[in-house]
Amino acid sequence: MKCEYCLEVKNLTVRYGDIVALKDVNFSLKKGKFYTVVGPNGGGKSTLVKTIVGIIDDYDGQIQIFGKDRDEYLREKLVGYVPQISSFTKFPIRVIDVVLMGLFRERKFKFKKQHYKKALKALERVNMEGFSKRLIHELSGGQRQRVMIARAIVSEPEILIMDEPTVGLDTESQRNFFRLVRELNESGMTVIVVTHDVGFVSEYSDGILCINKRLVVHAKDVDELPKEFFAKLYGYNVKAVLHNHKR
Amino acid sequence: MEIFLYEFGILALIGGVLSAIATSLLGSVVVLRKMSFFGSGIAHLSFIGVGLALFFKLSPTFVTLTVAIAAAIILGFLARKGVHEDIGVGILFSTSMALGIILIYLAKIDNSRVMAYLFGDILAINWQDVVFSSIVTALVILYIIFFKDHIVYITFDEDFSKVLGINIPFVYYTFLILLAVSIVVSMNLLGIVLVSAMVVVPAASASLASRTYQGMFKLAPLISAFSVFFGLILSWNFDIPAGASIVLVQGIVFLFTFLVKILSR
Repeated sequence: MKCEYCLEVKNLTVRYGDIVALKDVNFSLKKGKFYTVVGPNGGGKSTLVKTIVGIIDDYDGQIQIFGKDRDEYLREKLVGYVPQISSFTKFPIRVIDVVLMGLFRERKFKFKKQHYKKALKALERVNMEGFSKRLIHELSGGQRQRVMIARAIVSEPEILIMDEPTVGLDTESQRNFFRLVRELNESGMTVIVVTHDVGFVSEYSDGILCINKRLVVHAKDVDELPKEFFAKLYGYNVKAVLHNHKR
Repeated sequence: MEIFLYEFGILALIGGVLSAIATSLLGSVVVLRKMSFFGSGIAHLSFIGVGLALFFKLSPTFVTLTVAIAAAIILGFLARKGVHEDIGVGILFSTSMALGIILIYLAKIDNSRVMAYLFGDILAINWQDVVFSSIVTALVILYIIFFKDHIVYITFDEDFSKVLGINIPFVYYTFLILLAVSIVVSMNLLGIVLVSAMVVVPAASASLASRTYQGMFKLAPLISAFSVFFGLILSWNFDIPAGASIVLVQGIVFLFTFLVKILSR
């Protein structure tokens, strides 16, 4: 059965003890599009992402990925996931081994030649082919995030989800990063990016989800949002600086 | 080398090398996870087991193993709830030693027996100890063969490990239980005071000498086994305590590796 939506979230509620992180969130995302999730700190953006990719298991409601229940889908396939940069510290692991992590479920006992080939190809897709033998902590923030994308896409997922992937990167690195993500999206992958950078939202997105515990708005474009919207969402005046690269 | 002409020397070498392999393989994970205090903590917590066994006249090995495994599980549980392994150990460390000392005092045991638990006696181990060490070492090697990548992934990026569907509690608690058992086995050789060196020092040297975690897992057992071999020779030739000699060799290897690393920059 062909499914119009790659992701359908119905009445999603997530709690951490007594604290409600997300309440009755509902939305549907079409496949092959580029979506951005924005919202204030503590608004539940990361919780939403972590629940979709399978890091958080304790939730109420329904998550369907390509028409299948989340757990059923995740048993068969991975959802590509790129975490925040700050989650990584100094660790004696090579770039190639980080990318191989993404093929962990494909191997039987140990990684074989074909796995290494796939990993190198993924690195090539993110323009990091010359870095396979470097240690992950020897790379710059932008390079490290490219490796994380390679790890996320090496298993050729249908959806790629990124949780604030450009925090701490300079503007040029952010721009290069989003260009790369846009290319992946144009190859058919559905992309969902959590970000604070409202400017980049307008530049690359096909749709915006604004989350503050609940789904506040699900817009097609930043231009669709009322002028006072971000002030209301973040609690203070935010001006969306629009970039000039709109497709 | 004369020491290896005697049965006790051969037993010490076999038991020591087996123990060295087990503790250093798990020690590599300990160093990667930055929980170096944990090994020392488990050994000290096990002192309650020694006290209980002597007080109630039970088998010290059985009681100590039970206490060590229980302690590892409790500390692991606390760590999963956000209390770092080393903080949990810090809280329980002194209290458990105090309780062990009180129980041993009340049991009115000869001090030399207590000293054996504190400082170990590798030259007094028997074939039964060697068989026990072999079983534990075989389990540790199997764990590393099958779950090395799992535990490394969990250490490097736990969230992504969850995405991959790794059974994190199983891999983590199995590691802690094996670590506790290996420490108790090594306590017979080196005693409570020195056993943490077997876990941490060879792995720390390996982490300096190798670029990658795969290199650490290969090098740490070699360094540790080498230290046992030369530690025993040093002990025999200079008539000094064997356990302390082994740890001394480990310390020298670490210092040497550290200096080479610094000078080669």
